[in-house]
Parts: sequence; structure tokens; C-alpha cells
Amino acid sequence: MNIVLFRIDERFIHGQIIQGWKGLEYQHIVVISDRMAGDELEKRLQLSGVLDNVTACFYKSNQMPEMAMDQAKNTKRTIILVGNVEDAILVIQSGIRVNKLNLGVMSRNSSRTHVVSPAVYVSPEEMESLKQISMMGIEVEAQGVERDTAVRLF
Amino acid sequence: MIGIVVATHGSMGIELVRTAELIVGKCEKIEAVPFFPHESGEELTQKIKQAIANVNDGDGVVVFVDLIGGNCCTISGAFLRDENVEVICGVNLPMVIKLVNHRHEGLKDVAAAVQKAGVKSIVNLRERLL
Repeated sequence: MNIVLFRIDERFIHGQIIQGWKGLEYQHIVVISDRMAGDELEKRLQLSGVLDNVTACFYKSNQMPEMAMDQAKNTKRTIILVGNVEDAILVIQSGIRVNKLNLGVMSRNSSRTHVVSPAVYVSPEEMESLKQISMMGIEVEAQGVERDTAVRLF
Repeated sequence: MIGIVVATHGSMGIELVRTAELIVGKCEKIEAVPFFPHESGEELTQKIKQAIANVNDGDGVVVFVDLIGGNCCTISGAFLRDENVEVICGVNLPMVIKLVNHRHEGLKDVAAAVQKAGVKSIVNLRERLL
């Protein structure tokens, strides 16, 4: 599987993915989201702005084995989008090989006390999980779009 | 009267409404919903939901959004489950003005007319005039 971006983004496919990461010349997007995967209108909305040549598929977080099996055959330049740290861990545990985790959008809430960037807020528990991820040899950095400077966390 | 919501990234929608009012005069049942980087999708959903409720007097609502496929679009799009809501992407000033001037007609017809007005307003002046 040719992963060009592995990203936590609560908004999944949106303007930043469509415009801000175009330079990756990605051809396929894998979205891990219980809400999106179970809702035809949400799926169509997610795809409303993507380039014509870009394909996408949606999985629920309990479909990781299926996802890993499907995607093993996929040779397209692929973006994987998850909505939270827990799902990022599930992707890693599915056996898909990644070397970097991008934090794109993790919005502010009362438990997310650590401000990494204007769109990335992290709770102490999430910080600990991200550290665990980094210990598996995966770099963790926050970066909204390609033109932004990446902020390395681990 | 058809209600109007303008949901955009940043403050663009607020200014668009202000500017439209400069041109056509003060309007009622029109609300801008700004969306900022630190806000969650859930917050935006709530803001749009509230704005739709505020401007809807039963004749339906047009939600204008800036960018097709962007977050304002995908979140507003979820309100299409309500037959009384239309979402139009790629908002520009002529579209808002067009809608303000046709608020007492049927929702679907007006939505179509507004979309057409938006496209028609995009002109290369050199090609048009010279």
C-alpha cells in the first residue's frame, strides 16, 4: 500500500485535503469513520469536492481487518484519514505500515489542554498515546496543509 | 419569506451579508455563520442548525457556502435531509443579492435562479467589452 499521508482530521475530506495536499498527487482516500461509513448522504458530501480521478472508500473502526485486506492490493497513492487518536492506533495495529502520523484537525475541547497549532489541541491522555505511537517508530507531527511548517511532537 | 444563511470559512460570510446590505439595504431573516480553525464540526453543525431555525419562517431556507467539498459544505449538506433547505456552493455577492430580491417565490425555483445568477455574474470584462 502506497500511503502518502496518514492523518488525524476530524473533518475528514474537506478543503485542506482537496486543495492543501494536492501536491501529493494522491489518487485514493481511505476514510475511517463510523458516522461516514454508515451514511450514504455523508459519503456523497465527503466526495462532493474531490478531483474526478480520486477514488475513496469508507470503513467503520471495527472493519480494520477488512480494510487492511482490501488495501493490501491497492497500489494507488493513498491518503488515510481517521477522526481521532484511537482510530489511528487501530490502523497501525491492522498491520498497515506507516512511518509518519500527521495531526491535521483536532478541535478544542475542555480536556484538550495542550495547544499544538490553531487547529490541533491534544489532551494529556492523547499525548501519551501519541508518544506510544512514536515509540513504534512513527513520527508524529502537526501540519495543516503542505505549505505550513510541520510541528514535530515526537 | 425564504430565509438566508451564509456559512463560510473565516469571516467572509459576515462581510458578504454586510456588503449585500450596503447595496440593497437592511435585510431580515439573513444570518452569516463564520467558521474558524479551532472550532469543531459539531460546533459548526450547531451554529448552522441554529441559524437555519432563526431565519426559517416556514417558506424554507437557502444556505450559501463558499467552497464545494469544504467543511461548511459538507456540514450544511447534512441539512438537505430537510426538503425545506437548499444548499448552494460557491457563493458570491450577486447570488446573495439575487436571493434577497426574490424571497417571496418558491424555494426550488429561487435556488435555481440564484445558481444561474451566480454563474452569469462571472465575466471576463475584456472579453465582454473589447
